[in-house]
Amino acid sequence: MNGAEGSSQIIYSLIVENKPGVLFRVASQFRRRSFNIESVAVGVTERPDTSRMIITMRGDQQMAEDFARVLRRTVDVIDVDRMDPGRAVQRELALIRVKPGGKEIAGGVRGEGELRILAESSDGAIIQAIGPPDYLSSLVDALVRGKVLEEVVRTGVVALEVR
Amino acid sequence: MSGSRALIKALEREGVDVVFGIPGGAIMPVYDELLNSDIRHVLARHEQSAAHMADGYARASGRVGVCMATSGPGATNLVTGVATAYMDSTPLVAITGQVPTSMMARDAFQEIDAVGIYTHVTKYSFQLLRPSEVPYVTKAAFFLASTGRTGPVHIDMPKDVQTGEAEMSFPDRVDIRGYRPYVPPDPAAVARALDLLLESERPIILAGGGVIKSGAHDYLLQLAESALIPVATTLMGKGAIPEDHPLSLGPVGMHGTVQANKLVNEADLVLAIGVRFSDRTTMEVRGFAPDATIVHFDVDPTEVGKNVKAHHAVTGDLKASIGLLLRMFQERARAGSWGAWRRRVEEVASQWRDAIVGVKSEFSPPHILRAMREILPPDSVVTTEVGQNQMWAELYFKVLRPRTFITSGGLGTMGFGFPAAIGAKAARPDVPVVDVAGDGSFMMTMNSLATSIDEKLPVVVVVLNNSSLGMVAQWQRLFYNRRYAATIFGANPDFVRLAESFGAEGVRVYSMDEFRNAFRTAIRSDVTTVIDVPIHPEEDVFPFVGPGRTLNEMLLGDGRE
Repeated sequence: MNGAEGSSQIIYSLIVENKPGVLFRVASQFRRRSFNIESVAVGVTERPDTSRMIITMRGDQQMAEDFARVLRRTVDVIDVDRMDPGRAVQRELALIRVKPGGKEIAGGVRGEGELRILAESSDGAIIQAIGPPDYLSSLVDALVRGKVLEEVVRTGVVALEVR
Repeated sequence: MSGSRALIKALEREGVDVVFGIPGGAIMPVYDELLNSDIRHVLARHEQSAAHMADGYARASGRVGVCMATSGPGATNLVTGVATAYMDSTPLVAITGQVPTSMMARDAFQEIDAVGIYTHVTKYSFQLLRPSEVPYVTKAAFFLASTGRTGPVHIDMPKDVQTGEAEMSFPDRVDIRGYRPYVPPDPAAVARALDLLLESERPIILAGGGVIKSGAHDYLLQLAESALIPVATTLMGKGAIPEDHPLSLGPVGMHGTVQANKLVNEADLVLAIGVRFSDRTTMEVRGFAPDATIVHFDVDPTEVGKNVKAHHAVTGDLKASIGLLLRMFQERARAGSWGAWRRRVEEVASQWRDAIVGVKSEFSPPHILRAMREILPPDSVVTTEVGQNQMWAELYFKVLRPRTFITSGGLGTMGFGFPAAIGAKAARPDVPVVDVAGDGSFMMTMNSLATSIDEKLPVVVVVLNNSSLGMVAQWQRLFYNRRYAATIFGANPDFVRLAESFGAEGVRVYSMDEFRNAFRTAIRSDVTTVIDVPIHPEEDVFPFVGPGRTLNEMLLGDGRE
């Protein structure tokens, strides 16, 4: 069942009950099958009793469809949508602490992302980066190669499908 | 009203007449309140048995079984029984006490994270945090347990929730947003299934436990008889069709009948109804019905394609689906389209229907099971332990009515049969209840003898006694060069004296005549009887499909394959 490596991106968008234990129940279904969650972002929706989870992982499409049925069957899960990565607008936010010189390296990374400097001193800076997850990954790679990355915090992907 | 009072009242409103359990510190307020109720409590001697009793009660009656235990070890002991029910989709509500909310997550005495454990072996696990939640949660638990694909639901109840007072309002129904159990079948999907059936040349029905749970067995029988299609079952499907019916082939699988395994293999269409294609049913899955179109009916959409790829699936309520399929069949077709196949089915079935293979004597387990069937009235309930005893029962005990054969299929829990029999007796006091046992499995929960005597729930235990863990020993004979690692018991108890020490009857038999006499007496007795049947220690169960083999690679035990 574990067909994770080298396969395509899978994005689940779940509408769930906003109450204790729901993330545990959902995560347990992934754990039982040894699926590795790449990113998870959870937040309350326009209704206070309802949250949305965006969960991404890698795997093959048939497995993803079968697993969507398992998620749908989970009692606290109200709705499951499996997004087409090609049609989904994906965004992620990262806060990155860099050493001096990091700002310049970051500015040289190509991609449809936005950078802001949130704090700066002679020790370096904290950069806010917003963009598609692969842009943030290129950014992190470049900073690592430049030996200026101190730490990074990523929110996980949020996504909406284009109608 | 206190939370405890509200719980008991909610149970009464659900029509609960019996609960099975053992009290302890963290559930004493609930037990105290039970004394004010007409609900019967059956005191188990181990929480695992309490859960099996509730399971046996539920399977025999079609109602929701209820078991309860205290926190900590009470809750962990109960888990095996609840997991057993989960694997076999038995509707159960399991209630555990919990330390007061103020003590939770502080490693208090007898504290365990019950919700953390039960989430994995139930449809849902609730933790009550306020007394006012009790009526809704109890209603929701019974709703979840008894609808859709049925199964166990757990309620964890901290002690201060039991003693705390609140204004209670008891709902008549609950709505759970993420749970929609009533899915009507799509008529177009059912029509397509019928098209495939009518296009086929060698169809076979494979009926599983879902047929019995959903009450679809009458429709199934009518369909089989209208179309004259043979019916094989899974282990859990035994009883979906009367096994003495000419269209019944018996169970498929590792210890399936020759005729069922052979004919599934030859079929060009398998109409699979309420089955989950367990590995013990399909065996090597690439060799399962290799030429067949698989048409799968199930209430649970996650079963479609999980183990066997279905060419066409109909998901939704099985009784409605099979009822619709039957009506459509009767409108569109008539029997008689499958003459050549029917002759082939009858040729194979008549050769093997009454065959006993691979036995060592005329006093072997298959003969015992056949004699039991001859003696027992058709609506008697038979439970089994797990191991060789269970597989002999699968092969040689013909089940004639739904809900009269109760066995731990999915989890294969040793110790299941005896407490399940006691629970079944609580549900069906009017019929004989018999546990087909092995000595190894019986020893795991034989302390339930005390419960059966105390609670006046008499059952018959037939111990097929080979003084060993027989199924493991059989595998050691076949696959481990007869190296008996930890399977031969040195010191078995004397089961006759053991039974007598509990106030039960005990008898040992050495021949078929002695067995028949003892069994006739036992099923009429008003106390539990243990019949010790010493069998040849190297008696094996045949037919047998070895692990990794396909259904047409059967060992028959006499050198034949």
